[in-house]
Amino acid sequence: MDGFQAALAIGALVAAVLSWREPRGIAWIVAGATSFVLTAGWEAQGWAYHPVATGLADAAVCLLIYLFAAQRWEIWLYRIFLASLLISGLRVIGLVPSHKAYVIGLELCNWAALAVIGGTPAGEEIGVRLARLGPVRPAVLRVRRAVAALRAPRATPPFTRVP
Amino acid sequence: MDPLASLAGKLLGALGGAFVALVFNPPSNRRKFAWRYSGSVIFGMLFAPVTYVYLPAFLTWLLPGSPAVEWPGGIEGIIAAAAAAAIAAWPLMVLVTARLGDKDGGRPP
Repeated sequence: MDGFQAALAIGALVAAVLSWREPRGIAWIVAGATSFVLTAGWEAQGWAYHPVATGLADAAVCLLIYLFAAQRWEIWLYRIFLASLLISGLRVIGLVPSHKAYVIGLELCNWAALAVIGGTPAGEEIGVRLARLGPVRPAVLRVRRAVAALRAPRATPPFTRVP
Repeated sequence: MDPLASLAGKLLGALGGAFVALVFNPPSNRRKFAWRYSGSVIFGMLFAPVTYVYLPAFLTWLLPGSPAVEWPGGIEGIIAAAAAAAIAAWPLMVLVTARLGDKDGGRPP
């Protein structure tokens, strides 16, 4: 495990702690971590077509999130994994020529996903604690609105629930 | 190349390509999913040989001299070509189903 992977593991742990009352958040962290471990293992073994394997793993996570997401923050998570899949696709066809740029893109997606997973319950908690401090301020209202938008139900059901 | 291996490669690639396209643009109901997925897989299998010949040339034209454009040969190339054809077929299937009365076109969530 290199430094970047260790940092990501710590980030995942922090996000899991922040969302300890949110089983869906934990489930998405586990799904993302499984995808990461599989693809990192693929690369470590030196097997060919690493971007293809990464893309297919991300696509599987994307589909899982799309099928079981209930709130908007999960749809944001779906979009982040979609971006990761797009980066792998661009790498496959050669539009991301450098391996470094490819890895940086994937890392950014991973951190964005952890920020959404951990940030939603953390934002909720911050909103509650700020409200306890005194009269409702504009900053508190902004945090509450942002969290309410993320906690809203998804706009459309998955296709599997519509005949 | 063994015809059975070629057919299996086409099927595998087309299934994978349609899967990726499904993730990018999920349909709004199960009926559209069945039409688009099966249509993309059939299209991917049918057009895999044409894609196998012309897509590498297109990519080389698009990205001249790029070391990343190394189109695989043999069965791997067939799988990649079928996947590319199936991905390309998905928006076509959206257009076809839109013509058949699908108003939303399968927008993402």
